[in-house]
Amino acid sequence: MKFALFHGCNIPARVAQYANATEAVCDRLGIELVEIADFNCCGYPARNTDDRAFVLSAAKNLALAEKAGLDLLVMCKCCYGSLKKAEYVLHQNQDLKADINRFLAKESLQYQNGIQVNHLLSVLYHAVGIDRLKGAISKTYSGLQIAVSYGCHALRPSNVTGFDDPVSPRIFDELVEITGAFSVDWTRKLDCCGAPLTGINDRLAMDMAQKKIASARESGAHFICTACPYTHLQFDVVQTRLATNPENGEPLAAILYPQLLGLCLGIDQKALGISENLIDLSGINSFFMAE
Amino acid sequence: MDPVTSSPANLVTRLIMELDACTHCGSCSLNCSAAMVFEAAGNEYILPSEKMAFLKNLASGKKLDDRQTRAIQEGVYLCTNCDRCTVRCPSGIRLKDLWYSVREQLLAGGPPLAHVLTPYSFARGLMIRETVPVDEYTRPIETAKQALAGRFVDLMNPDIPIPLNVQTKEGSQPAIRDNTYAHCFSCQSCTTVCPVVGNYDNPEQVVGLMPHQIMCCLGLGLIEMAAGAQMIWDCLTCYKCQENCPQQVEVCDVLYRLKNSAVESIER
Repeated sequence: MKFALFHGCNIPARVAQYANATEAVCDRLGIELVEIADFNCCGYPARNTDDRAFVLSAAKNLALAEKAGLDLLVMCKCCYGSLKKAEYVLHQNQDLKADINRFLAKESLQYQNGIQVNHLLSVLYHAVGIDRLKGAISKTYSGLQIAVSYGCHALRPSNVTGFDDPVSPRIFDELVEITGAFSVDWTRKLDCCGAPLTGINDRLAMDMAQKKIASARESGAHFICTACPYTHLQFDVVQTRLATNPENGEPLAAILYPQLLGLCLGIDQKALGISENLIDLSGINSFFMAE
Repeated sequence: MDPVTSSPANLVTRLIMELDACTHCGSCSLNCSAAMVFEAAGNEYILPSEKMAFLKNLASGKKLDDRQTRAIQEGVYLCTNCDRCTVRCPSGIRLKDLWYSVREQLLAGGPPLAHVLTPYSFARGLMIRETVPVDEYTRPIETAKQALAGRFVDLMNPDIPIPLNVQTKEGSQPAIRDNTYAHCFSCQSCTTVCPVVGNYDNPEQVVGLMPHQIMCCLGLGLIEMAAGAQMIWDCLTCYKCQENCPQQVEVCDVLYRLKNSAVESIER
């Protein structure tokens, strides 16, 4: 099993532990990850102002993966949504595709829709499979309650992203439950984390994060589980800022999915970057049953 | 050298030394995450090596005209803050720190910049917000919003009749090229599920027009009114509206197109 790993821009600069944990988990599961140095921005931040710049950025990445003959493994939900959207738009609009391919030809690239864009969670769920994952787990949590944050740009628009059922998704819950943890039902599970407006309308972005955190806490969750650097930064960096106001309550730590799974695979805490999250999550170790 | 605790004189000295250390080898630009945005937008200042060449000139006292100010301001902002330029620089220049400081100076002195209202601002919100005075932080956001709102306040004046015979040139507005809004039957599902609308007791005052009202405006040909509403910039792009629309109106995508056309209109 071999994929081109798409890092995006946020992960290398601000959430390096997500890539490290993903690589450690994939290594353990026998998934080969290939680095393509020429990958660039997925196009997501350009969408507000310049649709063509967005499609061109996304298409270059798709064309690079196609040239390497590899399907993509994407860690960021926003990169995933952006690449899926570009794929969709290029399929619908053949004139745009021809225009984009003229640009790409300058770099000896072309996009012909020859590869598949996958999120990390989809690869683990569909390509590896629940049974194989269960077989690889060496220890499980007991009494741990997790609130999974699905991520808007993976779930919706579902006709474009094809990630899971947009109303009643299961992938993330099932992936969490193989670790022995319980995936709690919480009202804001499918809602926005606020990240798209951080830096634009910070008040609104913080309101969104705060409402999700409160909802997760109410459901009895011990941690929020994320699989997107934007969501992670909202629940880690932005939440730290929110926590300076005592009215917002105690912080609820976020854990990246490959960190949660990695611990059960017996991977070293350091390799998973457990101490690199801003909000301390060392308490998770108390949920492992004494051997 | 710590940007907060070090002496400003030392910081400036280091900055000048870094500008001088740049050999214009182009490694940064070859690895730039925003290189394709340069291809599409044609602004060479998006490429880090060209920003460096420009900053060298600026530091040596060169005066800028309006066109250059605008181009460099945009070039410095259209950066995804992936830090690859810094990682790849063979001279060890901390380009990312340069961008952060120059960006704030250019925002303070330059014209309204629409790109402030895009996720390019994410790193600014995450890392810069706490380090600069509140008004310096919010001013570029507010001036961009005002410029992009255009004549919205006048158009919304209840004493002025709404013109229902608006003439629009076919294909001239990106927002009307795709007309899924024409299927809207005003059930308001989009507005009901919108987390932005739901965040306020008085959403109409805060966001100007709610999603279903924007679809309605477009149906009536009132594109300028729709593109001036605060709602389009407060949209979280969570796509709940679009997912829940019983008529398959591409609500969120229509808002994206309105944002694109509002930006085009202030750039013209």
